[in-house]
Amino acid sequence: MTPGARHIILNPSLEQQVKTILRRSGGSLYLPSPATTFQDSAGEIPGAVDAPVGFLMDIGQGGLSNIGPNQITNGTFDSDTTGWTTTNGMTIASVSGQMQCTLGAAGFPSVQFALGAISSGEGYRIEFDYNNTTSHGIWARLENGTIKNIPSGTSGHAQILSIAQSNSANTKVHFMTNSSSPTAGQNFIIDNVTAHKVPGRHFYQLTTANKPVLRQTSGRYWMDMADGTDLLTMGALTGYTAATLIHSVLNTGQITLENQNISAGYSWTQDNSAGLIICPTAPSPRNLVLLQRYMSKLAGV
Amino acid sequence: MSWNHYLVLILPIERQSIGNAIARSLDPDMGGDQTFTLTASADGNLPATKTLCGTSCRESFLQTVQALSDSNTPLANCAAALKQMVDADYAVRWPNETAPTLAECEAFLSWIAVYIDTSWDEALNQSGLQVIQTAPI
Repeated sequence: MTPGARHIILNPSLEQQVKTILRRSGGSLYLPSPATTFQDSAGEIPGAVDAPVGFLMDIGQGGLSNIGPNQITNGTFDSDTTGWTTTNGMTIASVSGQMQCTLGAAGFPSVQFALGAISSGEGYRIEFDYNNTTSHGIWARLENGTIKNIPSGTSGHAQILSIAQSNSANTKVHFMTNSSSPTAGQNFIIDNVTAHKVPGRHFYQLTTANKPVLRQTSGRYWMDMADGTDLLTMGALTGYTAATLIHSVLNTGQITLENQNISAGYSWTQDNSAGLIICPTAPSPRNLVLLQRYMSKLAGV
Repeated sequence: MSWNHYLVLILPIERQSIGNAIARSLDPDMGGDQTFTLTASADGNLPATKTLCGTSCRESFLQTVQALSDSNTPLANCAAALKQMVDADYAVRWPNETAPTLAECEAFLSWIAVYIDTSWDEALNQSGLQVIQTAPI
């Protein structure tokens, strides 16, 4: 700052104020759009207008722009497989700088890397290269999270968002052969694995018929949940016993639900949703007004 | 390819498990076996007589549905085609689950009612059904 100059503070936008409130309070912000949604529950297929929503990202803590560090300390397997463990007869080895995973005869063999505790709704962006030459599918995911199926005979690079469906004291990045009777001796290759935690609590829906559909009207994005089964879900939200939820309903306004006990989980079924804020605890009266004003604005009223 | 069509599918409640077993393979995502969860009856009260779902779909899926429900094609041929589709997906994605039998595929096709590009409310109205309200899943 120039000596002697006045320190001018610009009036922050309403959106910026809302994001600051939520960041400081651990709150969640859900604004459905092609940038925040995916069509599938594994977060691979980007969202699009008139497409189903299988994944909706919480951007209250920054979302993908604020991911944590890579927690896989040995994802390139240059010389060994240190840090990776196996179950059900899987054997692993570093071969040509990749991890070769060889199946035993026991059902559902897996290889995994521990990440630590996770709460339902939290998730990781997991990337890896794969070459599945086995005759079985491989499930890639957090151990307790949403799944990408890698079909037999396929190879490539994957980037998924796996969301924990339950709480876990020590979740893992998990590659599991999806067969109760695998062909012993067959193997698949995994390489260049990274796992970054994506802050927030994210919604998902596994069943296409139950997915909301992303719509756009007069420039505003909203979710169509008109047919009675559509909902986005999240598992147990430990500690959310007196949460505040503020819905933004297109052309209607904001709907505030205070003192809500959603600790057993939450299903979002509000039709015509332009957005949702979830605060784990009650915001101050002033902050509540700001949050409500923002959600009314999103609703177009 | 855009999801520019909408289907409402209605089955007798007795066919719910067959419907979900088939939907497991038709759903590109992982939760197809929960497709038929909603139930309905004429007055919206128990007992349920039907199970139903509404879903957006792509043109390619609509064409599949139309081919499988083509009244000019013998039911046995449609059932065989559906069985082939279901078996192929079960082999790749659900090897530990038992795929529906040919007879179950035939029963599914003979009992399912399909409303194409008809709104949810209109399909319910035309079929004389009211959804049985339960707590959210």
